[in-house]
Amino acid sequence: MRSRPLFPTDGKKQRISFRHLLAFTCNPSYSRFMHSLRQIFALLFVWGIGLACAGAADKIRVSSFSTVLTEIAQKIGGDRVEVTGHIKPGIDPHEFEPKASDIRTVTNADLVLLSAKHMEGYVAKLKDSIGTKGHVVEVGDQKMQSLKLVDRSEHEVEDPHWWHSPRNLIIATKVVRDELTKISPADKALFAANATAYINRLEVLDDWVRAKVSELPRDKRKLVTNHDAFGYFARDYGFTVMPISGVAKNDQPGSKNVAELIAKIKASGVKAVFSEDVANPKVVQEITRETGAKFGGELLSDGLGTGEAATVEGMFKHNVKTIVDALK
Amino acid sequence: MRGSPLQRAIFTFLILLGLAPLLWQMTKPAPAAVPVAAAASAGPMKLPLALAFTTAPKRISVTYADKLVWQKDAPESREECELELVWPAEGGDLLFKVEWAEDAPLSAMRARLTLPSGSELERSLWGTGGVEKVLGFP
Repeated sequence: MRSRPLFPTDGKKQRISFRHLLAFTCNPSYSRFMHSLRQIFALLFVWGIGLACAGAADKIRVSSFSTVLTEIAQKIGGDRVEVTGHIKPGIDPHEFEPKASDIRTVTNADLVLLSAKHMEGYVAKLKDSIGTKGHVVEVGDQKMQSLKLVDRSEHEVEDPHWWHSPRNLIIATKVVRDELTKISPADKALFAANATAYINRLEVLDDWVRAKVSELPRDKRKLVTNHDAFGYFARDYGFTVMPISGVAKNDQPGSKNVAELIAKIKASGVKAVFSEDVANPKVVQEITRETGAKFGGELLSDGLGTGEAATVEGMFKHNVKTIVDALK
Repeated sequence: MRGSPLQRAIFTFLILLGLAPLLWQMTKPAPAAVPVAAAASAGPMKLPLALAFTTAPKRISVTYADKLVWQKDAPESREECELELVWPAEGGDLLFKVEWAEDAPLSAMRARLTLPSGSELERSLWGTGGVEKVLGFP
């Protein structure tokens, strides 16, 4: 085998052959050199592992069971938190059940955020799994006024869709800020500043929604959707909700209810009927056919969406533009 | 009263029968009062609006249901106008855009709207520079 020249010296080409290498590696200075190199690599490795562990340990681990709360925790905690969002956009939170991997993550969390108002039917199971390790906060049950809904068994229940009100989102932001501060009092100023900035954005968003909704006269603010999820939105912005079905998206309306709703829509002259991101649109199609109202578009009812609707601001803008433009 | 009980009963019945039209007039249910706002919501109406500013702005406009209904450049510190619009029984929301000078101090505007029922409602807004706010009546 011919060796390859490394670099030219004195006009002659210097070659390193296998023999040269063997001689070099048998030299005692080579052993010392390799020993030092190994020590440096070992030190670097230990230092890197230490840094990684310190970083992970430093961060507050947050487990969130709401896409909206995931955003709030990230905005308030910034670099000081590591948020795991167990519910991803497009997943129906009414039907979600935590898997073993979710439980494992929650077990190691410092803070667990739940939407509450009976949205999560698995709360007891979750609390049993994590014992006293993490702190579970049912955000929707903190200082937020509840609206009532009638479920499929004709019982009055709390409306769990509180995030459709910026007023409630501000309360949730303050709850998350206070909980993070309890865990890391040293970061109080950071969390307070982040929360203030986020609340300012929510107030600007509220003004935007009011301006957009004002394009509709109040007698035209009638919202027909196939899931009773916009009660808080309706309360804040003067809409009347005419739901096709109940609390959860898979609640099926009875034929009598559909007939009554069709009569109401005809009487009130509602221009458009809306469906939701992951709901079955069949009933909506039937209603549009019977009433002559058009299909207004899809709304995001149970949390954040994807693309431009992947943020709270984006979700609001998508919903409000869809509703107002269709009902005009 | 003289006469048999039967005669007295017939006499009383005849008196009551004679008074029936009068009793009917007095006791019939009054026609349901049509709410002024609801009756008026069928067509456009003129609603008086009075504005007062702590600092006169450079410009002001009022929009209702996505339509510009009134605007004025360099208004006085007190202005009065009439808004012509279709006002539903549920009430309405007016979008005010007020533009104060950049160097103007924190300023306020008070708006007094007279509703179709005759009642007056006051709302206010404040800010610096350009302010865009929806005021609801009621």
